[in-house]
Amino acid sequence: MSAAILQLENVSAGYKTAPTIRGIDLIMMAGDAVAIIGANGAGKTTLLRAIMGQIAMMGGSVSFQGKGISNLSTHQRARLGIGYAPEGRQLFQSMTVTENLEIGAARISSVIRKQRIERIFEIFPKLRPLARTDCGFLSGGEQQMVTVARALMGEAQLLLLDEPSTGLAPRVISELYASLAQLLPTGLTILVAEQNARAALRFAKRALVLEDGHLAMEGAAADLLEDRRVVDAYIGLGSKDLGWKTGGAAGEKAIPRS
Amino acid sequence: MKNVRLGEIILFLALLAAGIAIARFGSGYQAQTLFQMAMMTLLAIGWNIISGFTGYVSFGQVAFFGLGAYVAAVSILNFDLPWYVAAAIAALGAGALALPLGMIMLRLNGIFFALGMFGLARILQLVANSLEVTGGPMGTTVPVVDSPQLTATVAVLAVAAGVLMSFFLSRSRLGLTLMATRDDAVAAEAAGVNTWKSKVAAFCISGCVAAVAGSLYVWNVGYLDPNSAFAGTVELQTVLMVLAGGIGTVWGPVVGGILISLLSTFLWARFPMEQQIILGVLIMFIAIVAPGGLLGEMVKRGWLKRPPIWGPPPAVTPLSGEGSLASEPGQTVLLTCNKLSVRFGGVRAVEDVDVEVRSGEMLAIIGPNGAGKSSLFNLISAFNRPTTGDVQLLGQSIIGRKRYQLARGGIARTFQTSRLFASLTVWETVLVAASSVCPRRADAVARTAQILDDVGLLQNWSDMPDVLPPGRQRLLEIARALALDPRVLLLDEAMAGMTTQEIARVHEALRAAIDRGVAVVAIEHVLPAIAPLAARVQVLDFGKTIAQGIPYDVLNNPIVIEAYMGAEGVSA
Amino acid sequence: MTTFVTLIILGLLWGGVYLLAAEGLNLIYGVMKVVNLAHGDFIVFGGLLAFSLYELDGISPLLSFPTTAIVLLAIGAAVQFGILERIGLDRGDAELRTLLATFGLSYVIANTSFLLWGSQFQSIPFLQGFVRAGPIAIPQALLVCSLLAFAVAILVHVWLNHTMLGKSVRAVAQSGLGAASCGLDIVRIRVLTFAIGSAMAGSAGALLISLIPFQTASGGELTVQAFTLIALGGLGNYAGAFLAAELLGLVEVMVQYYLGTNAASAVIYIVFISVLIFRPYGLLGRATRV
Repeated sequence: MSAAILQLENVSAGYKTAPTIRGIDLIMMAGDAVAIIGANGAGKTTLLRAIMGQIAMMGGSVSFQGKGISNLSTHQRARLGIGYAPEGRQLFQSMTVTENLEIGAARISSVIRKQRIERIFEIFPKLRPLARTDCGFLSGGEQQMVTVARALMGEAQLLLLDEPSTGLAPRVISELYASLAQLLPTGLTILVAEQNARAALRFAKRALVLEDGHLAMEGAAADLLEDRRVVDAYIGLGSKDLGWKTGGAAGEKAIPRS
Repeated sequence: MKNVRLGEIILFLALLAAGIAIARFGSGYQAQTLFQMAMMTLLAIGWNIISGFTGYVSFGQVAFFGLGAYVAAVSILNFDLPWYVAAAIAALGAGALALPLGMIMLRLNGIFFALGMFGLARILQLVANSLEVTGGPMGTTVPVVDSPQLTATVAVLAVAAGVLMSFFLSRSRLGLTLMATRDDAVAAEAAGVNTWKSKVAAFCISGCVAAVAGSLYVWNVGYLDPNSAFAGTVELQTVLMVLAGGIGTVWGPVVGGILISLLSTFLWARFPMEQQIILGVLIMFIAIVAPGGLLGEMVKRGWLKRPPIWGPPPAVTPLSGEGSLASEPGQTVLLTCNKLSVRFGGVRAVEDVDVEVRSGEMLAIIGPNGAGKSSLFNLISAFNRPTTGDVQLLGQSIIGRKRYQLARGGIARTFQTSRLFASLTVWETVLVAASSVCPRRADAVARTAQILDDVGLLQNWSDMPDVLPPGRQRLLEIARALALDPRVLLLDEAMAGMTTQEIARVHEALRAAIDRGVAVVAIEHVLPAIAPLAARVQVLDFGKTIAQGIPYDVLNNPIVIEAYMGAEGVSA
Repeated sequence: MTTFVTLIILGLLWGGVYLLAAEGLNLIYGVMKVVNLAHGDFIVFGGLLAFSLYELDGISPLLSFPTTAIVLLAIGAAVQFGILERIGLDRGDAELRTLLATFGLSYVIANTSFLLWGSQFQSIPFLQGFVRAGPIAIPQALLVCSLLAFAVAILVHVWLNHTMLGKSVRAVAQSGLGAASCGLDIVRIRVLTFAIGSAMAGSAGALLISLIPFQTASGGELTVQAFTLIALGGLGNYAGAFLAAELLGLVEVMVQYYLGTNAASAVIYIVFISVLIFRPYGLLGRATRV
């Protein structure tokens, strides 16, 4: 009988005038693990940004633990208990791992903060020897770990991850998702937007496939993993018209790395 | 001159007549006030050229003002020259000095340029302080003073000349390139604009105008000292005038000049102590609320519109001949990349990549996010320098060539996120590229019209890019690239967000280009956009080539599928 | 030889004062990528305020500089919150508009100072004696002010690196989005940063006015000097600013002694332009953030 942790109703959002994503519905309960996958430009990052308040919504509503949050700013949503690991990690590069973690819980007493950091090091033992290292010197995988860890410092109930596997080697990706899987039994709810469909589908219980800004497929992750249509959506083969609808999914800010 | 509006001509003549009338028939006081107004307006016009049209905001306009004043004074004092010769020398001197100064200062941008110019003004002031011939810090009288009536008349005429010059500049090739540079220097370079040359030219013109104002000042006041010649309040008023009137417009400096002059005079009479506070607050207000100034707000609301440069488009006649490309025999290798690598920090964005681009063919480059595709384009189009490896166009290495040279020399590109010119219409956007490769105006105009017609944007010729839906914006970028008449066309996810019709239109244009012998290299994420056209596909992942060949083979290659979908490897 | 050593010591001491004058600008730039063109005018305002406190109540600048700091703290907060925050940071022309806004602000502050204090050169004749160590004589005022300036600079440095609030400021400087994701109120931190930067300017003014006279129009020059310093050290780079401050202190003292005042005034601008052209990222290369 618990309230949904996250509820999206008919959410539309975008940049400038035309919405990049339209009509997105989603309900997540405590302990859920949901993956949002889709080709580049499909709207995954836009969706997470809308949930986190980084971009204005053009329609629909977002609720967290039963309360509407559509009018709150990013930092207010973070304070409510949504942890966010943004695209590109956004670490504080010339601050140490410990300092980055500290910022994740900047507003609480230092005693409790230290306890939380200790717990983080138990979940991510690889970070412990790096505690005093500046984040700018860490490898991609280590940085991603810090990003997730920092998001957890605020005792978040909902964790949003935006393309955590970008630039990571396959082995590191598996390790990352293994650590995340460990957190689920504690009641943490995780929503991850991913380019790497396989890793995300193996980790999640449910998945949504976005195409051109709308929900194209939805279902149990295990089922979608076997579905050839998902492959088609990614690479673009297949006989069906992939829907060059009017006013399509442009504006999705591609990561300026390729 | 079909684009001169009747209203503008009437306004111009009316102001000119009013100015001359006051100068000739007004009292000494009125004439003097008019002189001040005209002189400051002239300064504003000059400032507008470098800060408005070109977008390089300077806080050192007074540097050239003072310079002009001093050069004129020395000419008069030492060589006994009449005022108009002194003014001419001042202008020439400023222009000559502006050239090397501009080449140094224009390497800076933003705050650096603004403060750098401020520093320049202070340096010149210190130099003036130590000049014995002009009396050092105390200054000197300059024995050429004429009546306020005469100086006011000349000043008004000078302003008229300045307005005419701004007018013609804003409709010229130089004006076009300046505005493009201001809006997006990177895109301008990719459209073949030699931004450097344009900027320096604007800087020199701006300096000359300021110097003329300075020489008029000397002639009117008859006294010169460093503090007055390089006064901070001159800077303040110049900036405020242009801001208030409308930065980057032709009439903005004049409107602002008149308004702020009147305001300043009023303030000087009533609140002399608080004048600068009030003007400063006004600048802050405008910067926050209406940075476009009076005219800018009117443009925003649609009450006023800048007339198109070299427009409106003529009727489209088919181009004589098949374009300026000699048709290459099919399949000539136009562009090669040999073992191309680039590193950013510790990341190898592109590693040992070989590419072969043949005429009359489309090569598709695909790969997951972060694979290095755009980095590769950046290397080919001189937006980055490779760490190792070579890029050759028709057998000649192009490493080290400038971007605009490559753009004019046959390599055109679009950008992953649209880089359009925010203040140029669709027509002008394509015109920038066309005029980079067509020295004659008529050719550039014809070419622009033709290209716009080919891609189906002709009916939008007078639209600003921000009112276009995203698909048409991409179309515009492609049109701009095609206008360069390239041998090699690099399309970076150019068809993202297009409707089926738009894609069909682009396919037609690309098909025509390919038939003419153009080589097209297209980065795309989802293939249906280019599948009908692509003869070969090359797949990148983690900066390396992992597969290449004909589309069917590549897309069913398990290695490629794995790269996109994720490895089978270690289980979670 | 003695002269040379004296000059070196003087140069190093002056470096401390310059550092304090410029650090506020560095802090603001590091966090917001904004150069406050009114910074020099804040320094002048603070200095003249200290002057008034001295004239009216005989309060020495050592005691009044906390007061000037607090006054400028309030002014800075008001400016950031009331004015600069109004300029939406996400728009493309935000940098230009902020530039123009602080340009206007500079005149407002300078004119306000003029209304309050007139246009005469003012200074505080404070600690006029000399400290002697063998043949070397150092002005007492310079020694005291320099040490105080270093103390404040170190204090701020400690605050930035060892308190949560200071670290939050640095965090916002390096990634606004990352900071917001951690629940930090970026607007409030920006206001705080600007306020502290302004306070540092004000307190620097209180110390400076005991060393050199200035008047309400001196602001522009001080802004350029401060900007030169932080540009030389790498915008936003603290260690670099320290190095640059010492270097500039030494250069100015030497040039002043050997070539005269005019040359010394010119030197700062020449250094300024040279830095911008040849080493825009500062002496230490690519600017590392705060």
